[in-house]
Parts: sequence; C-alpha cells; structure tokens
Amino acid sequence: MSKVQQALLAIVAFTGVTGFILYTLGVGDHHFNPLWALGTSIVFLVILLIDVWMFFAISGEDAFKWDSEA
Amino acid sequence: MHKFLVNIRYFETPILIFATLVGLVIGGPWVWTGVVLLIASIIIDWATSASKLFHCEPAGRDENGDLYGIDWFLKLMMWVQYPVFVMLQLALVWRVYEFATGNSFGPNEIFGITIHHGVTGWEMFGATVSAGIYMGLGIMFGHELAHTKGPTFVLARWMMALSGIAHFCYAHVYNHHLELGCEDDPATSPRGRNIYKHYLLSHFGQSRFLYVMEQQRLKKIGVPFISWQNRWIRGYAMSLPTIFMFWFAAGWIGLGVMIGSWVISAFELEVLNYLEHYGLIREKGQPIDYHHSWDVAESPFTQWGFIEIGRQADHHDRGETHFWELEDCGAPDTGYGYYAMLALLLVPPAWERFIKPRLADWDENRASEGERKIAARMNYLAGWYDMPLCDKPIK
Repeated sequence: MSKVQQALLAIVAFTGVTGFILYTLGVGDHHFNPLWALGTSIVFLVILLIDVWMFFAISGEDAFKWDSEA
Repeated sequence: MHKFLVNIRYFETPILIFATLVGLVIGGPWVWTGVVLLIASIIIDWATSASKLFHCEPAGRDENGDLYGIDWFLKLMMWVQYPVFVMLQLALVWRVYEFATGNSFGPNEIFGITIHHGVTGWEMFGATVSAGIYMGLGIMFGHELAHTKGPTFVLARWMMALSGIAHFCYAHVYNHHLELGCEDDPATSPRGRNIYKHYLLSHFGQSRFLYVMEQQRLKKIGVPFISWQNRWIRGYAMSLPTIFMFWFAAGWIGLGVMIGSWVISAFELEVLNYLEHYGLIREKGQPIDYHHSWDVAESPFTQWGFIEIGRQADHHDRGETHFWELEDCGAPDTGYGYYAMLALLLVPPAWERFIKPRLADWDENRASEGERKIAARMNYLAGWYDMPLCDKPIK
C-alpha cells in the first residue's frame, strides 16, 4: 500500500470513527438550534483541518515527487 | 457592434450558472439542468473543436490600440458571480432541507412558473451534481480574481471557500506560477498520472504549500501556528458559513450533500490544472516559456466559457494581465477545448491515446535539450515504451 493510500485510509478511518461517535452522541438531533449548529460546525471544521493535516503527515513530501509515480 | 459581441461572449458561463440556479429553484426534473448543460457543452465543444472551422481570436484591440474588452463591465461580471454562487448554494440548501425533513417550504409560484415541492432521492442527487458542476465551473472567476490584490483577492478567497478550497488563491499565485512544469508544482501533472490521482495530489499538494508557507512565515514573526494570523487555517475557516448552512438546514444529510458538491467542484478545478500543463516539462531554474502550457485556440466555446483561461501561455507570461488583454502566442495546442477533453480524461486509457502523439511532437519540436532528457525519463516511468524518447533512468 502506497503512502498516499495509507493517508486516504487514515482520513476515512478518522472521519468515520469521529463521525460515528458524534452520530451516536446525537449531535444531529439539535441541528435546528442555531447556536448548537454553529458549535458543531466548528467541530466539523476542526475535523476537516485534522484530515488535511493527516494527509500531509502520512503521505510525506516524497508522495508529491514525480519519481514516485512509477 | 464588434465591441459589444466581444464583451457579451464572456457571459456564456454566467448564463449557464444562472440557468442551473433557476433549475434548482423550479425543482422537480429541472434540478438536472446543470448536468444536461454540461453534457450539451461537451457535445458542442467536440463538434466545434473537431470541425476546425472556428479559430478563436483573442478579445484584442481596435485600430487605435484600445482594448475591445470593457474593463469595468467585465470586472463587474466577475464580482457579481459571488452572490450568484451564494444563491446557488442557498438553493441547494433549500432543496436538501425539503428532502431531509419532508417539509415543503417557500412559494408555489414565481413569475407564473410553478415551483415543484418535495424532493425525491434521485432529484436530490441531480441537484447536488448540478450545483457542484456549476460551482466548479465558476471557480474560473475566483482564479481570475486571485491574480489581483486587495479586496478583490479577498473576494476570490471567499469565492473559493464556498467549495472548501480557499488555499488555492495563495498556492496558485505563489507556487504554480513560479514553479510550473516541474515537481515543485503539485498542479502540474507528470506523464502517466491519471486525473483521479492528480485530483488528490494536486488538491492536497496546493494546501500543503500554503501550510508550509504559513509555518515558516509565522515562525519568522514569532506567532504560534494555531492563530488567526494563519492564512491556511483562515482559508478553511472561511468555509464555516457553508458548513453551518448545510448542517443547520439538514443535519447529516445536508453535510453529505455539501461534501458531494465540494468534491465535484474541487475535481473540476484540478481538471483545469491537469489540462493546462499535462506532461509538459521545465528544467528547474530555467525560465517559464510559452511552450510550458497547452493553449486552446480552436474552441470558441471553451475560450468564451472559460474567460480566455485557455490562453495559458500568455497568462503565465503576464499573470496579472486581465483575461480580455491576453494574446495568442503560438503555444502548444491539443486542438480541442476543455469540455471535450474533460470527457476524454475521465477514461484514462482514452486520454493517454489522445495526448501521447501530441507530447511526442512536443518532445521533438518544442522541448529544450535538458527537457528532452527529463521527458525520456518520464516516458519510461509512465510505462510509455512506445514513445520516441524513452530512457531507463540511471539510479
């Protein structure tokens, strides 16, 4: 498995697990409450930032090198 | 009259975006308007490109040397796209609210046109794809504004943030335009890479560029990485209103629809990057030249619809020049428009069959000696053993 595939797998796993936890905690039950929706939107934004950062960290600089295409 | 026609032709995409918005508002089967328009665009682009009857002239100048493009008019057209995109997104939010809750909401008639209420799963899918397609095609206005400074650059960031890609504005100007054609530019696709892999590597590569740039900049001025001064974090935070809207209106389903539209629009941005420089090579340290970009001169439908973005070579020579000032400069040309090539690259073997002879011609007639050596190595790495230049790299 290439570094890029590992990074993608990690993103799917992390997002899936955190999403499942939030779902079972019932955060979606109150999404019509504007303040609650804003707070949880910030949580989703942080998850997005962690996802992107994980791609950089796991795939590494070499993933972007042309020689790694072979 | 000529001046009027030159300016009005750039309304091709804004009209298609508006038609997609109207389709989403009317509802029912009309939510597929964006998908139908894209398919029609591909067919028209193929027909006009393949016929070779329609060489597309730049906007150009009159006999006094004055530009035909009207500065304030075309700038206004670009600025107005932002509220149009917001309305397109709000229309999608409205539809996903109706879908997720089963509640009808809003008028039954607008200007005598019946508004369909109630959204089926299939219609929700169509609405998401349609909105994603035209949010993505609208990114070209964000691209144009990203080459400006001050408030219009910030507007470009907000425009891109609607699709979660505000990092593009910095990465495009400070990375792609300086490092084009070599591996330091994630937006240039090497030979043999398919669009799906390029989508990932270019998208994350551009974000990574801004991440590293901010890491170094903030360290230099003694500010912690996690701060409001971090333009990488701020770019993603600019997407917060979009996340909030979808989540507030429709919960988890809304979030899924938002991600779907983001994936499509970000994919289209990377399709443009892919088509503009695919397989072209520049030696590190050598100046960027006209032969490092693919131009599109045989497709008026692409040139007008993509506001002359197909004059890539001149755009890379004069990055801050407005699109209506760009000239034809004899750059390499695949002979087909972006819509036509989009249909090809979705099937990677078909794309390779199309592009390999054109790259072989580039290697022979356009590349420098140093570029030819790199091309031979890249052809080998791509597994293109039938290319005239193909050498096993020396480890």
